Amino acid sequence: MFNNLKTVTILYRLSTDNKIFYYNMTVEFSMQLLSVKGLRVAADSKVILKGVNLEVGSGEVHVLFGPNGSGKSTLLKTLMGLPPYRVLAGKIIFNDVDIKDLPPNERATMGIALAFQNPPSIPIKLDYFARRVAMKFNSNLELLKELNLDGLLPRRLHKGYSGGESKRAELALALLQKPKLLMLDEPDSGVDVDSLKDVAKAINNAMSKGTAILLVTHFGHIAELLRKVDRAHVMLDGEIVYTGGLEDVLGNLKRKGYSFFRKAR
Amino acid sequence: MEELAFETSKTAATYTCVDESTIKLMIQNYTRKLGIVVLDIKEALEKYPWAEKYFWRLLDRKTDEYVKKAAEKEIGAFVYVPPGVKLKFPLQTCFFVSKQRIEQAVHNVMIVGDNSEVVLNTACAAAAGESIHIGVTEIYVGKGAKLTYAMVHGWNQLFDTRPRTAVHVDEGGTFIMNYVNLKPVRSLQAAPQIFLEGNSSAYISSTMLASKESFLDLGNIVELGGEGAKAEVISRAVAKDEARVIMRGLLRASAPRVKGHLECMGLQLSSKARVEAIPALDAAVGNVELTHEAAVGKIAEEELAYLMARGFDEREAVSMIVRGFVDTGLDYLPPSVRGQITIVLNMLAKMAVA
Repeated sequence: MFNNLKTVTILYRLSTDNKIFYYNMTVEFSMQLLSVKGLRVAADSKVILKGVNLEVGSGEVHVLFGPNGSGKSTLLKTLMGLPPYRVLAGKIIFNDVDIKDLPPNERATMGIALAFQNPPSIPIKLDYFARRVAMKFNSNLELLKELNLDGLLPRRLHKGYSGGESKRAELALALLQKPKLLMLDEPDSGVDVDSLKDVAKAINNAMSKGTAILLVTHFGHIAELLRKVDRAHVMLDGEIVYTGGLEDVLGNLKRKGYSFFRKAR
Repeated sequence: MEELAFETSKTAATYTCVDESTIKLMIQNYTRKLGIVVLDIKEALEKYPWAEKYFWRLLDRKTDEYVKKAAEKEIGAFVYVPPGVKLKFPLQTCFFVSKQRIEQAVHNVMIVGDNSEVVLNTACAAAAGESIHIGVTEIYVGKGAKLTYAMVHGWNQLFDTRPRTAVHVDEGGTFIMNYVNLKPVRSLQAAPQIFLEGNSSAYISSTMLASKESFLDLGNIVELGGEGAKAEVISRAVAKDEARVIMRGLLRASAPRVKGHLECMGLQLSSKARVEAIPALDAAVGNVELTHEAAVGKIAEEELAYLMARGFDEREAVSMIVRGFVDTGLDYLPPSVRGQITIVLNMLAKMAVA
């Protein structure tokens, strides 16, 4: 049994015809929004995630650090159910449901959204696509204005976008899904200072509405602009090897680099 | 037929041919007052002997066996727009085949006078198989005139069609053609020929959904024959099931300082569907600019996965990609036609995953 499961005993008092019955019911439910346990994942024949454990509670903000190729993006894409990643072992429990075998669209409908690091170019205009997403999730298109996307609306999605444009569009589309868990894959890479502030502001807004966040970053620029970070994790070679506070992780990372965590492993 | 027809309440005039007869002519009073003529071709030749000089001028009646048949039967639409008329509402022609084993062979002649501006909507449909539609059409766009020609076809999987179209665009004229094929057809073979005089322009867009065992062989042959002429020819084919599409295109430059761009793109939605793109350029003189672009392929798994991650199931995702693929930008179309074509293309995207 997972340690994030809570057992609650409910005592019912039923009365009929002057007789009183007591009925004892025990319910187990998860305190976590997302619980990843022993997750092993491969792409083709290469094993990338080698037993990842991670728990994210509702409304919590988690930042995942790691060098290139450590498996951070693979983890997010696996949680979203994207190809070519194949789960070899472990569980992905979201809102008390094992979603390991569900297609990406069902995970999205359940409340998981991913802002891609390198989204593909799609032959659909942003304007049309954003309206379709908003219609599906009954959300408000005002978000597009907040992220300064008006100028991109007539353009095809991610076709010739700059780094900042791409990150802002991804964040807006993910937020239009009104997710319970927002996953952000390097929202600060290749982004100018102004776009970074816009992105951080939108994430902080989502946070204040109770959205849980799992953010992947190399350097932590974006993490320093967030209103709160509950946990910071470090991933090395397909495993989360360190979990602590943001200041702790970022401080060690800035001073000693990833070798510190390698030694601490 | 109804689902393919353009909105009729705002139509300036309508010509309707069912099977082998002209069955309906409607012309609004204001259209008539402008001097516009919409008639069956036989009646037009009787009433307006001057019209004869426009018959069989762009196409030889012996071009092929199909044109010969249309020349023998002599039914079809005659449309004349006098010079200087700017018509607010569109003209419309409809060709409908209701019976099996018939040959609907029509000859249409359209003349747009100098400096006139009109829209012609054409809807073609078949309710019965084992028949053929042969549509021979000669179009004259006068000096400085503008014709927008929007065609929507919805045939039948046991039906054959052989359109034969020739267009002459006089100096400074503009010819805009937007063609959409929605339904299965056993075979469709056509190669409209467009001749452009000096400083005239052509914008041609063909969008085809080929399904079941359809075979479509469609191309546009544009001759940039006058100095300063320009043409943009865009074709999009979506093939599903076991359909096969050949997209041809030829831009021929026979005068200096002309510009032309040809684009053939194909999307195959099944492993048995095939699209072949054959763009061709021919520069007979120097100082011309001719370009082409062609690509054929399937939907990338990455694109599909991305859309599914945004909450759309596979069918919705494919339909959205198809809709985006056939969106070639309709900015050059008059707003009324743009609205109609948008609805038709939305329908096409839904039918692609039906």
